[in-house]
Amino acid sequence: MGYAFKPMWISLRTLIRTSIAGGKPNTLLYPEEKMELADDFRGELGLVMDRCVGCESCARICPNKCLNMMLDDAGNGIMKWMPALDLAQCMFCGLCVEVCPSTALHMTNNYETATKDRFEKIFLPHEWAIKPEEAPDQRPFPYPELYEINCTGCGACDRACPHDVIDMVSIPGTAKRRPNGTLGPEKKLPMFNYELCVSCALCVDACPFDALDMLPRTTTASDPVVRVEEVTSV
Amino acid sequence: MYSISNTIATAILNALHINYPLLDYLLTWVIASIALLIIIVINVIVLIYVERKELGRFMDRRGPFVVGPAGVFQNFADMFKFLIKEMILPENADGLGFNSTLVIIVASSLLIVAVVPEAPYFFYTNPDLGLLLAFAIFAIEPFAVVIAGWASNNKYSLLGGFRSTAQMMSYEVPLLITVISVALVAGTFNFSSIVTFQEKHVWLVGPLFIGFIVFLIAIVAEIERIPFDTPDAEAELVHGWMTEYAGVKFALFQLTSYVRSFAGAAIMVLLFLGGWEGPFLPAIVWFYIKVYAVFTLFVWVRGSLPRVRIDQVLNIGWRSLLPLALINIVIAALFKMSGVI
Repeated sequence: MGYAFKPMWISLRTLIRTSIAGGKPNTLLYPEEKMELADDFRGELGLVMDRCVGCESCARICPNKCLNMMLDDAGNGIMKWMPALDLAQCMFCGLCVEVCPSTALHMTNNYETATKDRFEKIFLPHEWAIKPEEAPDQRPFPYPELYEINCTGCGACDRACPHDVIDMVSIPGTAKRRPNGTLGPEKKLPMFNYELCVSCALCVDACPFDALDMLPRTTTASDPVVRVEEVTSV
Repeated sequence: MYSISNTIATAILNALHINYPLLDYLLTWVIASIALLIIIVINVIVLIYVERKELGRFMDRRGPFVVGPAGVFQNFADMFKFLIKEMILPENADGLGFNSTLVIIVASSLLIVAVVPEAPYFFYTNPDLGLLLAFAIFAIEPFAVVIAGWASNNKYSLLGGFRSTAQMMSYEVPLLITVISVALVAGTFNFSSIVTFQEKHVWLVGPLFIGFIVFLIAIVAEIERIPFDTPDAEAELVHGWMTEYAGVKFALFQLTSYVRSFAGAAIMVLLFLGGWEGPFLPAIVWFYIKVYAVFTLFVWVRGSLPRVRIDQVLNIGWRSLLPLALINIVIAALFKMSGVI
């Protein structure tokens, strides 16, 4: 019978604490009292229109296809290519926030988004905009970095890039001699002109050999592709 | 209560200028019955409110607090919700069994409160064999429950009905043996006389402490409260034998459960805890204070303990409680023989 006494003692202690000894029960008197939320709480999405570059990374990565790009007024008469949000489809996974290169998306602390009609929750870009002060500070832009060991010089990244950032450069001295005596083509590597790059990551998606990755960069100066070194054998 | 309703009845009949003694008698009892019904319903409403609030505080949460000041009208809101729901009779269910067992269970539970006095002057009836009558009426329910479980045409309800009957029948034996020990010490089956005996000598919870514990466990099992609600096992049997009852019928079953809790707590107070004895306040106030204290004990047990498994239920009833009840009756006999009480 002793096994019945310990739970009864615990609940008696709870009763005394919540009723007589002045403690409060664990219940929150919502809506008068609201729960304290952490900084990285994943609530409703907000768009910082000034930071959006129109790269469509968020629309591509969204698992539920909530974000659809459209032209909209960014507040000062300038039309920008920005995402429209369908909040009813959103599953609050946070992938779009992670992948946005210019830190234009932020998940706010607002969770009271209930509605009677799910078609009310399709927001134009200026309707779900937030001010830059409400969003975290901008992270440095990521740019594609090459892993030379994987690169085969196929040029898929050059064909995928919409802004003419990539230029395939032949490396002198890497041509191999074929068995019939002629000289084969030289190996090519991509050269990036980072000043034109908008961090859309289409080149990373296109590379079949996992040779590219988006990493933050402190400078937009290009890396040298051709190293000056002695070529001893052909 | 007879005198109060008698005065009301005679006043009504005199106003209507009818002078027929049989009608006077009948009208008195009708008014007394209505008064009893009102008292029971008010008590049950307060009891449900007390249970919900106290259970909440035991569980580190508030009870109902939105509807009405401090949640007082929550019970009325729930009752209105039940009233507007459709009353369903399942397709192949036995209509007669389904509906009549509801009537039997509700009526028998209300009948128990009729034989339990609340104060020396405030009772519906106080028969000389009141104690035996109360437990005889308690024992009608297992019979009706198994028919209700069968009539629902649902194998889970049938199982719930079997388990309920098995549990109630097993726990009636130690219950009745404990009650016999109280009657042995007090020398009478009349509730008022038992309370008078306790006022003169000692509250029977002292000498018959084992009997008090046995009675507490057995009455919680009889009423089918948690931790003994295996027939009502909401995780396993949906709602046991009450599954197919919809709307108002379900509300009446909940009402019955609380009426039986009230009756069980009242009998415990009368038999062991001195009934309506107390220093300053009037007798009926002490009675209600004690009944609500015993009910708080029931709620405390509900809020703390997990459900007993079906094989453990019968083990506890026959193998643990029955020997304790027999020891208790031997102790009672010793007390009586030695002349101490």
